[in-house]
Amino acid sequence: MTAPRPALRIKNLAKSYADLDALDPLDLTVAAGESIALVGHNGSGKSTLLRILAGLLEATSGEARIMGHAAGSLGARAALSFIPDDPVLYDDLSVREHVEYISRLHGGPGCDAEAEALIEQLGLAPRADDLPTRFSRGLRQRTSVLVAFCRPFEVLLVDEPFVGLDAAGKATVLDLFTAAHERGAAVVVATHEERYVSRVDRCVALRDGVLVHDGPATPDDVVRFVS
Amino acid sequence: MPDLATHTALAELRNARKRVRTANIDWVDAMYRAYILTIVGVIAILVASGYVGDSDISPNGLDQLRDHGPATVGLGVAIAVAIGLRSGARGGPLALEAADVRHVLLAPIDRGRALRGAAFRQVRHTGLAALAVGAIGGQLAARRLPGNPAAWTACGAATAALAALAAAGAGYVAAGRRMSPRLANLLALVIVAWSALDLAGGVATSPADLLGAFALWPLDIAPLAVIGIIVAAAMVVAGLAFVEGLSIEAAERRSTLIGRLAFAATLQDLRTVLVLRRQLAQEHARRRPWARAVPGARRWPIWARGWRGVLRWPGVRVLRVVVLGAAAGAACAGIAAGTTPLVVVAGLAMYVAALDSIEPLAQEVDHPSRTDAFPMLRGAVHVRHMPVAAVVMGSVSLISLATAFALRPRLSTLAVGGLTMVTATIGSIAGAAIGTISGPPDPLSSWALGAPEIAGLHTIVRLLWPPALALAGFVPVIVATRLAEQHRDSVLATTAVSSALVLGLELGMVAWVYARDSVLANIKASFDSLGKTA
Repeated sequence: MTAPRPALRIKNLAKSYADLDALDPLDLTVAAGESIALVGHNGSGKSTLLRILAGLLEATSGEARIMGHAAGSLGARAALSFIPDDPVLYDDLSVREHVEYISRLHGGPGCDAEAEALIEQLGLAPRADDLPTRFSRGLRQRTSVLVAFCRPFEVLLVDEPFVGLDAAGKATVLDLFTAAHERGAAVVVATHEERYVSRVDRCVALRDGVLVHDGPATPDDVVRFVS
Repeated sequence: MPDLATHTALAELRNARKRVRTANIDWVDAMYRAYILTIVGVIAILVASGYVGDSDISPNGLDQLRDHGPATVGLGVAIAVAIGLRSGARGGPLALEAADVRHVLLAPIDRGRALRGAAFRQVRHTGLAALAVGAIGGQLAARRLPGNPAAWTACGAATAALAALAAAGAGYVAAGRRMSPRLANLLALVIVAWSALDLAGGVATSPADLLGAFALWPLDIAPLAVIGIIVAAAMVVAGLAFVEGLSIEAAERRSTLIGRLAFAATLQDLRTVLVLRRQLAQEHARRRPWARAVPGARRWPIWARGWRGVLRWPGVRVLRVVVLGAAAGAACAGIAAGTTPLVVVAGLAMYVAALDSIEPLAQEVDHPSRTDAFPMLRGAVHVRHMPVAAVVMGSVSLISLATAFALRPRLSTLAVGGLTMVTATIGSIAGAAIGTISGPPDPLSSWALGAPEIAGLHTIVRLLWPPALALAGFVPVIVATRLAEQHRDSVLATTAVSSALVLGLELGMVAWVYARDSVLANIKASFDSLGKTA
């Protein structure tokens, strides 16, 4: 019997910018259906790691595979959904049109009843036909979460999702992460949010681009990793 | 996985977005822009045709054109291709929308198909614009050259369009094949050097020169020009074939910066344009300065801060100001040889170099709250940054003088060049400083809210005044050249007087940098009190 294919497999992955090493050679494996909190202080390499996995950055060396596909490849793009720390949305598409477009680009049905329910859940229903350019940071963040969930995925990568969200928004987004995890997706979230860290399977900590912890962690440990 | 449905979705949504954009166009505003563009275009054509003239070219001039024309046009083509290559090594020339990078390029669809569509649209726009410019050039050439005017227009248009397509194609190949900036620079240098050597030798051997020979077909049909056409067409085909290899990292960085750059350019925010262009070129300050010791650091903190910035200049910036200095010197030699319009090249070269030299001052402008926390007037801080810029630009002027002397080794070059060094240095710094501290225009100022014609004129003056100051620095060369042409005795004395007058104007502008804030505040206070009285 063969072992199940890991959702993420990272081998000797490194990234440097000119004379700055953003990420030292890193090894990490995340099983399918596992939930991970990625922690570390500012500039520790969390966003760099997530962006390499999402295919937005190119590693200087090493390898990253998503569901067995090289990061950035067609298969990886089909399997992975990424929520960046800065919501990037079209200026001339409404929330509903974003869902329609992105869902269909991923071979989905467009803005169907399930997507409408998601819009409702994220509190975007009253603004679903508005352009996100006129939204507050929090509403843009909710739209960014929406477009990441309106398409199928097996791996969810999230970078600082709670910035700009109010308490209700945070609770909704946490529920969505939990639901994705329960559906069997691997969920990796870069955050120090205690409520999320307390419910994950593992905590991965980075410091100055180096992996310093990989295993269970208490909120006190997290404080120690980021200080 | 990609299938017909996802590509159909992509096409449908693109068309829908196009319809939304078209529906949102303010047609009155669009027509007004077209009206302004037409006026500016007609003026530019009239000025160019006035400069070209309409008398038949002399037999000697025609021989010169036959010998050097293809290589001259070819040099222009080579420079365009070199720019394309350099841009490609940084992920250009394609500028995608940030949201397209995140949502389309990260979707499981064929990237080649998505990118080729965008590249094809860019090639089409660039080609059409070049076609129009080339046709105008052909028309102007036909006024002085023998041959069928329609043939000149057609060949000019086709050459310019092919050159633009070749440049875009070179960029896509460099981007798609992930060419390193070093290799791209080397290739660009080889391409330009080949054409420059051809020009110096009076031959046309490079593909760029062969394309240049096509522009002169109405004069002489050179069958080898077909090679130039084929190479240009092949480059754009190769570019479209390779563009799918574009780095998403570069595309994302570029998409963000290009959007901001276009916005800053729309607002005429020179400083932001400059900063974003540096980010686009990944031109970062050195982590380790060229030297650590700065004389006078304790007594003159602003002077020392200026040097700390200059000593962190990246090598590419140092190289750029050296090349700009040499270009200004070569242009001065051209002015002395009788080509007065080269003053524009000399002035702009010094202006661009000065924009780099006043970087420490520009940093103060970028952080006004920090500057205002200093216990001195903002203008005083700005002016105290100028001595460092003066030393830098003085060095650039020395390079100009050395270049001009190498091209025209005469005592008069040193004498006139020495005077011009002073005016060119101060003029370029004053122009760059005023251009930077002025910032973007205030959309709520009385100028902007006035009649469109007045607002437009104010905008043009505001844009042209800073580089015009840099151009004024070269008045002594023009005066000396004119006097020498008229065989006057008092060339040096009169040139010295003209230099003093220009210097007076430039120092006045430096004083304006010092007093600008106070003067503008006083004027505003006067208007406010008048308003209250009324």
